[in-house]
Amino acid sequence: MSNNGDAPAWPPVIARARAPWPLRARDALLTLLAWFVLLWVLRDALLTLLAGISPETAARTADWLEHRLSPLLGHLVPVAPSAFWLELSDFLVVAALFVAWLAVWGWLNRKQLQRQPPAAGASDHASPAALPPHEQFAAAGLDQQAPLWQQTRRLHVEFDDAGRVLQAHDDDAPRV
Amino acid sequence: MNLSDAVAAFCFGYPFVMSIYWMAGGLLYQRLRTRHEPPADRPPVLARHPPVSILVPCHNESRQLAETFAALQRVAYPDYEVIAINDGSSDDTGARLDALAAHMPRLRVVHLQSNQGKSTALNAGALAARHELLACIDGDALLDPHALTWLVRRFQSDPAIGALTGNPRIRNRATLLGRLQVGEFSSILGLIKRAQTVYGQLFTVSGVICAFRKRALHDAGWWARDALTDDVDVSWRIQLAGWRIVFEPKALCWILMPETLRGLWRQRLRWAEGGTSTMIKVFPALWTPPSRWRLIPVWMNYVVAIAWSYTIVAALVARAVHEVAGALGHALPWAWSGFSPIPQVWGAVLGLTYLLQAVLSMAIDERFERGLLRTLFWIVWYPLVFWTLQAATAIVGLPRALLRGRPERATWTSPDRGLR
Repeated sequence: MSNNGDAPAWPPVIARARAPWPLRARDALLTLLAWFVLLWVLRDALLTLLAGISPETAARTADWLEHRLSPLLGHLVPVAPSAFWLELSDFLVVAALFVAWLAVWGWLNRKQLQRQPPAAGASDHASPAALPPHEQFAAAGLDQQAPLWQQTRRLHVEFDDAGRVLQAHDDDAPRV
Repeated sequence: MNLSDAVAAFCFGYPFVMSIYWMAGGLLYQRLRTRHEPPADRPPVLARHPPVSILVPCHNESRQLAETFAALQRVAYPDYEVIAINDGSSDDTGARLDALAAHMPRLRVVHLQSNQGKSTALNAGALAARHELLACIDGDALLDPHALTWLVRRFQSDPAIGALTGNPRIRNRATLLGRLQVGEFSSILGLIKRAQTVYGQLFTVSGVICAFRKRALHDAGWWARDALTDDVDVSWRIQLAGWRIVFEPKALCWILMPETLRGLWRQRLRWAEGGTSTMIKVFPALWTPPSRWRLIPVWMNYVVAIAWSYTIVAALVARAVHEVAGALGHALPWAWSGFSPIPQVWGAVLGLTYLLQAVLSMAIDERFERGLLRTLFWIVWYPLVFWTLQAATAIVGLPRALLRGRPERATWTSPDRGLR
């Protein structure tokens, strides 16, 4: 394999252009339709939200929409915004408590989050000791096999039915 | 508050509160870490370059190998080896890997005679790996040239970190499902990982791009061969062993995701079942000294998410029964009429909260992928369709996890990799 012969363009996004145009057109149309459906379904609710911020704007918008799109929208009735905000406030308080909890943890963890690696020349005593191969191979029940596993370029491994390693051998070495 | 009100409050309140929580987590992460960091495409020169072993488990990856290993040759890190594990492939993956190894001095190949599953493949690769630091990617994933530098740099910054999760970016965007997942990985997964890193405990590394210290894996008991989702399982055991896991968003990896509903369903169902199995498995360990009580909120969030899915379905069924009974002129013995599937005011608030979350997360992720905000156009499908899919997989995944019985070896089949 050449160094770059099979290398993809970077970033290697497989773009929409690779899809057939009917597929792309279908996706775009369906998505536009989905936005309209979403807005239509949420029409009263959105007006209520708007009324919570500005009752006059909500009323004007409802009038305008009814006038322009009456057959589609029907009669628009925003619910009482004061009741809405009152109910939402309970959830906002709970959310605020959760965010406060997270902020406390962020503050406690801030040194870990902002920690930088040691500068050049600094001692590296803080790094945990590497796992010696004999410990790893002992845990796998493969004592003394580290050289075979770690120095072979093409290793062949066989397992028993229970998933334990039966044997491993070098594919490039002559089999006895 | 009566039962009906409590259920309604839960169905609205859980996703609403969590959405705000994830957004706050994303912003806190920006404030506490990202603003101190260099850009992803310009990593600083490290003082030391400890050698790294990159593990690439492959099962029937013949079509993807050329790209995957070409990307691995472009890795801008001075000292690394690549271990490809051919997990009993039935196509010509093995022969292709051998051919690649003949021309790529850094590459060694481990052939497993029969399909043993990803966990066993990773354990075999770790045995063959010569170095303490392991980076793991999937056989169809393209590692960013600077990803290894960022992963090593993060390990060097904190000896308590036992594992890292990188930042998977979706490659295939030819269809609606592909583009939808671009938004999902930013707006949902990216924010969750940032928030959990701020909190200090992660639900999982991304199996497609992650890194480990061998010492941490050894303390955790290595990858479990019966785990359906090897990444979730090993993440919990590493944290239970006292190691930390953090998100390194600058370690990018370009991945392929399903672009058919069937492929997506199968993938998400496996995630749901595997996640639930892990939650069942780790539950006793959460309470056994030394207690890892800080993992309990992460565990509870997963359980509450499943409960939420069941509650939504119960509410929709109750409404359907209520409507049918009403149409037939029968009185029901209970008063609860459930919810309408047509969103009302609270549904609108949820929809708008989600859109805000999507905008925020994509603005954050623009740092790693220019033009990401353009995919917002497609995000409308997420609250309309994707939430349904997620809830459905959670609902089906729970009984499957509970009825799974005796743990078996989790082998794999080649997933849907989208339109190419």
